[in-house]
This record gives sequence, structure tokens and C-alpha cells, in this order.
Amino acid sequence: MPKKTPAKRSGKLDSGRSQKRESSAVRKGDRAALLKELQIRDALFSSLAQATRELLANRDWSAAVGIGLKLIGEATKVERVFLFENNLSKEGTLTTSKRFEWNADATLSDAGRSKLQDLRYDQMEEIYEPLRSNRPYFQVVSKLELNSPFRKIVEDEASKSVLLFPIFVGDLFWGFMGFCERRYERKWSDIEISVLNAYAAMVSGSINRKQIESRMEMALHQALESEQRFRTLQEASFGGIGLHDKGVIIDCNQGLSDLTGYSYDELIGLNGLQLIAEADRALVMERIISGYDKPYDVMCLRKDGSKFAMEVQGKNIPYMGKTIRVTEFRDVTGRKKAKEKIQEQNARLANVASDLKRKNDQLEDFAQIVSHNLRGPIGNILSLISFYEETTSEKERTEYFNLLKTSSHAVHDTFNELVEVLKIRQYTDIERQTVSFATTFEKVRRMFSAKINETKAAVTSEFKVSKIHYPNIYLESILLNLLSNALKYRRKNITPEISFKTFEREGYTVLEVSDNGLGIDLEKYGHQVFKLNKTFHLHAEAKGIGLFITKNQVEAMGGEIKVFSKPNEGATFVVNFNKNARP
Amino acid sequence: MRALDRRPVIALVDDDSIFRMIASRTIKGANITEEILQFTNGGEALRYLEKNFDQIELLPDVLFLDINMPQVDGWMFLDDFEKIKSRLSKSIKIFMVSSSIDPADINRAKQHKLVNDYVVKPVSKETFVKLVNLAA
Repeated sequence: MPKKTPAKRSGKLDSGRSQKRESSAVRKGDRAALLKELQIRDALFSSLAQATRELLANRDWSAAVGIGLKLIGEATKVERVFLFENNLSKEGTLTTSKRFEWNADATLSDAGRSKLQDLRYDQMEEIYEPLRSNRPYFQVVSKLELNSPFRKIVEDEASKSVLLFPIFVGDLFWGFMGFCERRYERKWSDIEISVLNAYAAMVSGSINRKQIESRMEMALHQALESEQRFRTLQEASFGGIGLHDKGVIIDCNQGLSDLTGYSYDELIGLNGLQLIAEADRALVMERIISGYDKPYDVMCLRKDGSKFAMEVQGKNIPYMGKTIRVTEFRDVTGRKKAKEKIQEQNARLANVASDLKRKNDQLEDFAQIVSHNLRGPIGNILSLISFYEETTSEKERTEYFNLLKTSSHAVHDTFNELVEVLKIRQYTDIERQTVSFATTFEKVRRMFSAKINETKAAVTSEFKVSKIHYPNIYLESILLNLLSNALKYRRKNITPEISFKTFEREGYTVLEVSDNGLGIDLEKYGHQVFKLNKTFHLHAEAKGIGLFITKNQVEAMGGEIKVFSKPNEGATFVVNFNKNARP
Repeated sequence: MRALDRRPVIALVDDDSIFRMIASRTIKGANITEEILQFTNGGEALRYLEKNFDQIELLPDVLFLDINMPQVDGWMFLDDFEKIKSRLSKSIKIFMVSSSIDPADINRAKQHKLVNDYVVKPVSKETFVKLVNLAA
């Protein structure tokens, strides 16, 4: 629609022909008629005043318009009064639709008559031109062009004459107010036109006000909503937010109060550094000055003096002509706790895993013991029994019988060793005593004195850690096995040198036993050193039980044993006792 | 199956002297052979093979190998045997014999290219006969 500056509302009717505006009654000078005219005028003005008051006072604009149309209709004794509102169709053409209607004859205001929706102005050229130029339009239907769509609409409404007043809201052609007479081709008096025009202007003003009000309301609502959103956002953030000017807090959210225990009023004007634990203040000050904007962890101080871990992140922002700093405080106690918990669980899982691995290794040990050390001799026993049964030779029978005894003893020994090891593994809560390394070692050394003399071995000891909280019999057994081992696997023609040492390493008590004996080819036998009945030497005394028991005793007490060795250079066994075993 | 021109030579590699005695008597009792070599561990057996690599009559046709032995065990023997195998004037069939029923041992033995089969102790007369015939 072409935008035009609306013409000044003149009250001049726009129609096919000029209209007589003078009242016939006035011309006649008839007193009674004049009086009547005055009465009508009075009634019109009072109706206009009342309708206007409705528009101003009634908060419900629709109701006010409805009442106004009725008042005006009754006062002008017109048959119908209506209000049309314009709108753009989807195709972009300007259309108009009936919004309100008052009918003198209540039977006419039925739904069927109230249709008149989305009437296209481009099909109603007659009214479009004057109305959008802000001029009223009057016409008697008989004068309308016969085939005009507008005439058809009006005729459908059974109207004989129409009077339309445009309603402009600001510069916009909002719609129009109309009056219809279907009883006769009504002429409108000046006063009537003035009153109707005035009311149309009032309605237009009220719409304008309504729009402004609703826009204001919306703006206010938006402002409130935006404020609300901002507040919600602030409060919903997990921490505190403070605006500060060189440390002095200008504004903050509830979160900061919650975190620090200071009230909002106490926080405003407070030096933000007071929220930081003393040790961290220099760091924070330096970061404020340098404008550091990455998150970092600090210890914070609550009003009650308690400390808590916080992650802070500050950013310089322009604010009312200067630069202030907005700082966010996030309580990371939970995060730290969660992290610690995860670490703790990981450690526990690692323990479980190593425990499982140890158990698995032990099971493998047992499987091997059962298959080799028990199944082997039992298989022999079965074979020997059948040999015994098959032969008739008494000599052979005696031989088989002796072998049967040997095999039975082997099974018995292995079985006892197995039971011994099972006991060690089972009774991890075996009673511990505070045991002296020197005393126990001396006892063990005496047990081997004959062998030591025979081999001329140099056995030395240095116990920097003198005592240990450990089962006495285990310590004795460990020292005994290691000494026995060292003496057993000595090299020919070389004087055995065996040293026992204890010391502390990384908080653990460590026993180190070194010899200059045969050593072990760890590349070949490393995986077997501590297995039952593993001997790596074709040695008459090699039985291969000592180290297996030793390993089990050490591990049952929560420690570990390792061996370092090279063939023909000797071996060093290192027992790392569990730290819990220290007195 | 081809009948051997002569009685086979059999080697027993096992640290268990009672088992060696039982196996030896079982083999002889089954009339398989009288030629039985006995070694108490893999090292001893290897030294013998290396020493007699060109003495075809002295080399075993079949070798029964234990797994668990001191010093050079069954697996180590196989590692070293591989290195000397090509120099030997006789192809030797190896059977692993152990009391181990550990599936890890059994699978490893069955999958080993130098091992013809795995036998669980005790070994019956029938099994010895069957294995020696298989090797022929």
C-alpha cells in the first residue's frame, strides 16, 4: 500500500456528489424542531462523552469499544455500527475484517451477518482511496456502480447507505468505523458526522494508546524477563560472581554469599582479597593487576575463618567509563573430593588387580605342584603296583616295594610342603613380634656353623635396621633359607663370601643377602627361581623347596622378594618387607 | 607303516629316576627294544646328541621328553635341539611326556613343530607301542 501522509481530518464527506450539510430544521427556524435538534445534539454529545469515558476508563478495551459503539449507535439512531481492522494477507494485499458490531435490531447481530472477514481493499477501490487518505466516506447504495464488489457486499448486508470513518494509528491506516442504515437512504447531519468522526478519532487514539501500552508492557516484561534470566543464570551458576574495582566489590550474586558466608550487604564494599586465604593473596593480587584471565585454584577464606578450595577466573570488563573486573568463584571441593575418590578407587582397583595376579600366580604354582610334584609320583606308584602284581620274582618284588616306599615318601613330602605353604598363605594374621635381626641371624648362623667351618665361608652381617615387627618363625625361616641357599650354591675353589644387610629404603625395611657363588642364569631360569622343586644346579643337596617357602612367607606378610644374579658371579636376594611390618 | 630294519633306539629324558626305570621296563616288556638311553635332564641329552651327531646307530629314533626338569627343562631342550637338528645324521621323533595336565603345557606341546605328540604320565605299555610304531 502506498504510504501517504494522511490528509487532515476535515469532516468533509467524500462521495460521488456534494452533500447538503445544513439541517432542514434549522433553515425553517422552527423552535420545536430547534429544541429537538438541541436535544438530539445533547444526547449525541453525552453519548460521545460516555463512550469516550469508557475508552479512557475501562481497562478492557474490547468491552469499552463494544459499549461505545452501542452508545453511539443508540444516540444516532443508526441501525448498525461496526469497527473494521486492517491486516495484510499472506499474499501481501491489504485486507480488512470486522472486529466489532452493534445492531439496533438484536436479531440481526447473528453469526451469519458477522462474517465480513479479510475483505480485499483492491476490490473495494471506492472506499480505499478516501479512507487511506484519512477522509470519511459516505454513499447511498443506489449510487454505487452496479457490478462493484463493494456494492454487492453492502447489498448483502441489506444496507441502503453507509458512512465510514478511517482510523489511523500514528501514520498507519488501522481500519475504519462504519455506520449503516438499511431502512432508508439516510442523510447525515453535520452534528452527527462530527460526533461520529470524533468518536472514530477517540477510538483511534485509544488503539494508539493500547499499542503503546502493550509495547511498553512488552518492553517492561522483556526487561524484567531479561533481568530475571540474568539473575537466574547468576544464581544457577555453581559459584559466586563478583564485580570489583581494584578488589573492592561493587556487586555480586547470592552464590558469593553462599560460598563465603558473608551477606550481600557485607560483601558490597568489601575488599575481595579478604575472601582469599592469606597465603594466596599475593598471587591473586598479581593476577588482578596483570589482568590474568585463565582459571586457577586458590584457597578461599569464609567469614567464619574456615578455608575451602576454589577455582577463580577473572576478566576485565569496561564499566561506566572505567575498567572493572568480574570474577567468578567456583567451589572445587567437590571436584577435588571426586578426584581423590577416583584416585582412591583406582588405587584400590590396582591393589585388587595385583592381588588377583598374585592369587593367579599362586594358583599356577599349585597347579604345577599338583601336576608335577603329586601327579608324577602317584603315576609312578600306580605303575609300580602293576609291575609288582605282574612279576613273580621275589627279588623284583622287593625292588618295586622299595621304590613304592620312595614314591610314597615323595608324595608325602610334597603334600606336607603344600600344606605348609597353604598355612603360610592362609594365616596372614599370624602373630607378629618385635624381632631383632641380629639375634635371629645369630641363631640361624649357629645352626649352620658346621657347614660354615667346613666351607670356610666368610659370613658377615650389618643390620642398620635392627628390629622388625614380624612373625619370629618367618624371619628365622627366611634367614635360614637364604643362608642355606648361599652356602649350597657356592663355587668350587672360591671361598664363599656371604653378607646379610638390613637398611631402610623409601620407608621400607630391606634385607639384602649377597653371595659370590654359582649364581643363576636369570634369562633362562628367572621365571622359575621361586617355584617349588625348582633347582638350577645338578647338586646333591638341591631340593628346591627353600625359596618357594621364603617367597610365600614374605608375600603373605605383604612384602616382596627379588633376585639379582649372573652366572658365576653370585646372587643377591632382596627382601622388601612391608612397611606395616616396621616396629 | 614300515617295519624298522632293526630295533629302534629310544631315549628317555626325565629327572625322575623311578619314572625312567618304569618306562624302561615297560618298553622292554613290550618287546619294543633293548636300546634305551637315559638322561636326567635336557642338557645331558643335548650333549650326547651333539657328541654323537654322526653316529647313526647311537642316535635315538624316538625321544621321550619330560617338561619339568632341573637346569635344562623340556622347553629349553627343544630350543637347543632346533639348532643342532640339521647336523644330526638321524631324524628323531620327539614325544613330550609329563604329569602336567595344565592345558597351557598341553597346547604348547601339541603346537610345537618339533613335538610329535604330548603324553600324560603314567604311560601304559600300549601307548609306548603305539607311539614307537607311529614314529617308525
